[in-house]
Amino acid sequence: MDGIIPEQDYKERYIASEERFRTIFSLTSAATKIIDESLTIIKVNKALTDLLGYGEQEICGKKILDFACAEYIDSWKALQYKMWSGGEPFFRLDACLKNKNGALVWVHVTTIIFSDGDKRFAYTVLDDFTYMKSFHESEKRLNMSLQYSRMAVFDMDTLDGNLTYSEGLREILGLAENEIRLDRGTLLDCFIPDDKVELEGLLTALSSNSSLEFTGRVNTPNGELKWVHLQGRLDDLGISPRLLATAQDITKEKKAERYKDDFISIASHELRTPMTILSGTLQLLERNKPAELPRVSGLIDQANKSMRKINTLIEDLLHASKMSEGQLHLHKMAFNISRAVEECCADIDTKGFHKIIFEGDSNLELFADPDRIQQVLINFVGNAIKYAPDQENIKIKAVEEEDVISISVSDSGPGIDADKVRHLFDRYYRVDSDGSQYSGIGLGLYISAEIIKKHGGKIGVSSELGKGSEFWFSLPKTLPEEIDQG
Amino acid sequence: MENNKKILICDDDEGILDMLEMVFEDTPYNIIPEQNSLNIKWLVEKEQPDLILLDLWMPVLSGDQVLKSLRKNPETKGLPVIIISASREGKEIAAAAGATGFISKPFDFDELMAMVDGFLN
Repeated sequence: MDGIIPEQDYKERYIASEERFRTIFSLTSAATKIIDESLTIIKVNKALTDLLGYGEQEICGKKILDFACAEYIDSWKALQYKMWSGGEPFFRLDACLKNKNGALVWVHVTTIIFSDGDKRFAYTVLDDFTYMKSFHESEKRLNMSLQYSRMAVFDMDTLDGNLTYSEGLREILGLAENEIRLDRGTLLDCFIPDDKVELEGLLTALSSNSSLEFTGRVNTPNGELKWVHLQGRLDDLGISPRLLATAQDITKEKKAERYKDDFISIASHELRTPMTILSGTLQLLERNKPAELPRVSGLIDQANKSMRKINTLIEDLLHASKMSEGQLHLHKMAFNISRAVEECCADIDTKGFHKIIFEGDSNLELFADPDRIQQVLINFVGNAIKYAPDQENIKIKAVEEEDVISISVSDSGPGIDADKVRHLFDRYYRVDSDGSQYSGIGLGLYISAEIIKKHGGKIGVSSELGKGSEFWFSLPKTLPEEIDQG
Repeated sequence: MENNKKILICDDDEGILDMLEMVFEDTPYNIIPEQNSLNIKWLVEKEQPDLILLDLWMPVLSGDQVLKSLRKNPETKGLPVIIISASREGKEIAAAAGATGFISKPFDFDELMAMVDGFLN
């Protein structure tokens, strides 16, 4: 239909339009109200009564500022004045209202003035962002508590290496403000070369290990080294597997540990000299003992045995303290395993009873630090002798697998409780089964674990009460090219 | 007596010097003990020892420093020197400085004696 629209149609279209407006007004989830020129609320929708908790009768007839929080009243009033008297068509502000329960409600306010005939009204939408606000508050609180504990949290996509992280992470990693984008690659670059290699290995192995625990050193702008501890787990329920982790600056704790270790180191070193004299004097005694006093020999033997024990303890203490210093340097080379086993077992006191049996390819070679590996073997065999004193055979097996070479030491002794197995490689942990006293300060396995870890290998034990124990370690096989470069 | 071989022993610890003297008492060697490493140079010139037992970690002038300067001197270049040390790393430092032999503390007398006999006979 063209030409002039008859008046009847205008009226119908107006009524239809009014209907549409009323429907939208009542159904929309945005809290909405209509006020008159005196700012009195004349119409509200359900969303608004839900928002404020008051019923329609309780709100209509009042002014919105009756519900507003004191701090916002002045600025709100000023904006209202500008609109009603100053000719502004609309205004916006963020404000806070109190609902019937006294709780705070945060809203984005949008008010538009309109005329109906010669009367003026205003239409307001109140967009509730209370949830957003409390989320931001708790995020702020989380960040604050993280920063006080020198911690940060981060979330890494293991496929593309993207990182999402809390405020404090850059500082913990020693990165200057907004210097470079933080992702898997730049995270790794924060660490010193040796530690970077170790972390990279752990990140790559994440899909099979599903958890991460790592301590390493980062460089800081002022040249100092900081110790950072990362701990996290793999979450593969989402679109791509993600690492959820915390990072903590443990430099203070490491310093304290270092003071303790320095003390132990100095003390052990100092002890070596009197030990040397003690050892020497006992040897002289042995030589000069009168033939008529056979008992003296036995006494000298006793003294010697004790002295050797003290010596081992001093060695262990020194090694343990050097270990956490990061001073453990490996001199890797290719060497024959069966010969290394023969060599170190010759030094072990089998008390004339135990037999050490080697099983495996006699040509098998390991690429590792031979002295340190022998140290691990001596520790394993020594434990077998100590904890399985009644069992004659101690078996050492060397097996070549696809990527690694595994070596194990087994005994058929009393075995170890499952509870205790978990702690075996902890520092200072000793197993005391059925209350009997065992000598040693519990450093042996800890040191062995550190040595194997430094080689990039794995260490473990399988044991069953009554059936014996098998202590094992595995080292990655080295490709010929790597040997030339080493 | 004059034909007996001379062994110069240097260690900053008096107890070790005394003990080593006792160890070598019944042997055909003459012991010259010295606590201060700074005195080694002129002692070597004066006494002309056949072998030196040298402790590695000593204050002011360490064993490897003494050894290096001995090796620079053509007269003492080939002089047998056994380094004594408490640490494992000492072995490498000793070798790098030109030691003829190395023994770690606490040592076995038989082993030490065998080494000394080997170098002097």
